[in-house]
Amino acid sequence: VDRFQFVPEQRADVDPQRQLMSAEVNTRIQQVLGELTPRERVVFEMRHYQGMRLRAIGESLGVTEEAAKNCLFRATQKMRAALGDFV
Amino acid sequence: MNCHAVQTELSAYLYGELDFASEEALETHLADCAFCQLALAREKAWHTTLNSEYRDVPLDLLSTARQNLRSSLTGESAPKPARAPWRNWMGTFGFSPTRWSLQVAAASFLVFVGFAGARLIDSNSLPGASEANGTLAASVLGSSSRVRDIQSNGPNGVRLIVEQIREQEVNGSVEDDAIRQLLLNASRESNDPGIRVDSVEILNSQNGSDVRDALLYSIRHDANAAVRLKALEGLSRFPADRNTRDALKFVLQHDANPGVRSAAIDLLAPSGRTGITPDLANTLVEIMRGSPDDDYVHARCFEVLRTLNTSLDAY
Repeated sequence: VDRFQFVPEQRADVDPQRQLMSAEVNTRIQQVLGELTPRERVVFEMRHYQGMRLRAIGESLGVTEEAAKNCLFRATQKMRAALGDFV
Repeated sequence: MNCHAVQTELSAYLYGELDFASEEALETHLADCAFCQLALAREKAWHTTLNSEYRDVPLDLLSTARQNLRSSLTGESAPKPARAPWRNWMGTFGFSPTRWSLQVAAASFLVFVGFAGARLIDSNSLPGASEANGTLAASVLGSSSRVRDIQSNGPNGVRLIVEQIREQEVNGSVEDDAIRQLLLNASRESNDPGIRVDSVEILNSQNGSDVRDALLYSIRHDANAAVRLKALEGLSRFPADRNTRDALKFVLQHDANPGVRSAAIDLLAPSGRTGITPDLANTLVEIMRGSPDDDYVHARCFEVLRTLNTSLDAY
């Protein structure tokens, strides 16, 4: 009897169910990012993926920090609504 | 701060974008509100999901970019190809060819080639050109070329003087002496029977002993029967000429073409002709004796002689 057959697999890349789930989430993220307005997407990616401060984002885009914050708020709302089923 | 305001600021809180006072108020509310704590957990969850799944940029992009940059820098810093040997040779004389000087040299070379080619073509067209190499010999081959002189030049060499006829268009009157001479030459020397027929036809409308001699030459020596017939037409204007009669007599006795012989006897002894001279009678007698097998010629001669009441016993 191979006892390793009863040991749960911890690696995500070899679990078919997790692989499928990951693929669906990735597709969903790309879809939602595509649905954002150009400014919302820029602000969101600059904040979330590049870690820029809202003040720096506003200066880069030529807007106020408050305008950048409102833009980020709209983007996070759309992301939250779209990814709520996956979390 | 109520629950709605807290949940609105959750993302800003997670991003660390709240000021100190707003952050203190939000954390105070979170400590007492289970619903907002759940909302914060969900907010953290989808943030984490975004961080784990968003992979627009390939992981090996940085290494690939660095590798491409390194290869590009290596290519640019590679040593330039060595100069051509002829450039080094020219450099030993202190001459450094630049781009414009090379262009000037190439243009000069092309001008020289064009000049030399023109001279070569011009010298080939002149009669008496002294060049006789193999390439030139091939260039002068043709029906318009004729070897005028040959001299031995060494064990395997030979020196040829080639005449080459240049084609040229000449327009003018038939009465012009030059054109008349060209027609006379064409009637004798042209290799094309059509040219000889046309020449004789034009000459038939001309007078002069040179024209008569050319026609006589044609009926005696031309290999084409059409040319001889055309020349006989022209000789009808010289019936009393002794040379013409001799030529007609020659034709009647030697020409292989029956049509030419018939035309000759018609010319020599036309029907209904009166005033037959004794010389003509003797000629006809000689023809009858010389061509016993030609029925038409024999009959025509007999007809003419009968008009002279010549005794048939004589034949």
